[in-house]
Amino acid sequence: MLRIQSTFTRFLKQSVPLAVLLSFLSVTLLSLSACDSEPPALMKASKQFDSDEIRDKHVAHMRKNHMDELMHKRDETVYNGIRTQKYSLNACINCHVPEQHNGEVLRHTNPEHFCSTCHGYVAAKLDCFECHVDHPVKQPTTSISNSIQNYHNSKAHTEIKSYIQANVSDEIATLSLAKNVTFDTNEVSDVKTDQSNKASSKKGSDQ
Amino acid sequence: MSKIDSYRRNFLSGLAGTAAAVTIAPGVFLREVQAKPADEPISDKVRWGMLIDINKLSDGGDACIEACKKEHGWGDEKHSNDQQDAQWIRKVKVTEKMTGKTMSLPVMCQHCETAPCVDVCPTGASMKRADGIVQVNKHICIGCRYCMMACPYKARSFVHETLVDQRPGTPRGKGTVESCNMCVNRVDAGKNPACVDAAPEAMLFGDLNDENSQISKVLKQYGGTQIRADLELNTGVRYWGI
Repeated sequence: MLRIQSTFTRFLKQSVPLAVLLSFLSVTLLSLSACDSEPPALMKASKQFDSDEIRDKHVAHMRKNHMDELMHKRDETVYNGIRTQKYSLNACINCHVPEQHNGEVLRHTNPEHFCSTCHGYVAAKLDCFECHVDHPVKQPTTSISNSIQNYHNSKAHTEIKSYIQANVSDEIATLSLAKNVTFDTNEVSDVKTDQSNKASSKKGSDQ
Repeated sequence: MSKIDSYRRNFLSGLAGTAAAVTIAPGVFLREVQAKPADEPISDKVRWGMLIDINKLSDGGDACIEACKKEHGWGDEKHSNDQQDAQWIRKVKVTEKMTGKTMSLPVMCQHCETAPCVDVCPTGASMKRADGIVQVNKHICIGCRYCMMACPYKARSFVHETLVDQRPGTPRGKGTVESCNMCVNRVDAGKNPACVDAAPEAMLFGDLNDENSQISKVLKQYGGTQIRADLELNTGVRYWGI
């Protein structure tokens, strides 16, 4: 009898901490499930995918792997000069961060910034923007436009112009100048229109 | 063939002999650099180099410096003093003692083949790409500044302050060393470095390994001076007129 009692008390002694542990776990799990586990709402990207399926895949993949993809891409770029748009930080920023938000530049210090919303939520430090720009910026056109300016002031340009004017009609001259000198900036269109204006005014004065 | 196409063909064939597909007139080379496909890694078959004719730089290189500042966004550090300011490219005035002749030349990273900055870097951040461009991998630079001390051209500088609004193609940040990277972002896209575009009459950019490139041809014919050639660093930047 005594032996049975002692076994029973031993069982009780062992099971009490187990029960405490179990109840603690269940309370924790219950409270966790009661937590809002949804990530915070993010700013909408400027470009949208063609279908919801592709978008969902992109979101699921990037939510989990963006840091690895960016890390891999950064080394590919720095060491091997691979500058494709896929996983390029600039491409991410250009699509996910607006140029202006409430009339101001949206910086990563603002919690509404696409990256900062989640990084703030999970308290993960965001290092990229110590060096990289955190909002879309139009590429500089100045150096290229300088070169265009230099070119238009150069002797070679005047030689070509006089050659063209001596040999072909004005319309073709305008076209060929515009087609041979191609730069992919907005300013070029100004230069082109300047050219055509000049050409047309010249044509007018000739007549 | 349309009238315009036939005109263009005649026009271009009239200029034949000036080599390169992108010549538009004798002596004017808009793009000698061929763009590699963006997804293709750089190769060591290419070695980028630059030739600067200081006699043709009428402003001593001011236009180049301005173009560099605009391309890479340096030069307006608010809190740094003169000694701390970023210097990707500097105008150096030299006087010959004997004759008193003075000259002014732009000096930047010379993109050495055996770069001392790469030798001394403890983390491997100071690196030479396969195509000969020397640059700092700022992701792993710890800002120790050994490379600044090792560089015989004083080409490197250290960022002393927090920066915002960097250029998208040129990340720069406090605590890292930086220098001329021959505009890697532009070169990878098949463009010339910004300084070369700013002074096309005095500067030439191209592949030193390709004997048919314009820069190799003129270097073969006339040679080009290295600054501190005695160090035998085989620099990628060569000068005329010093």
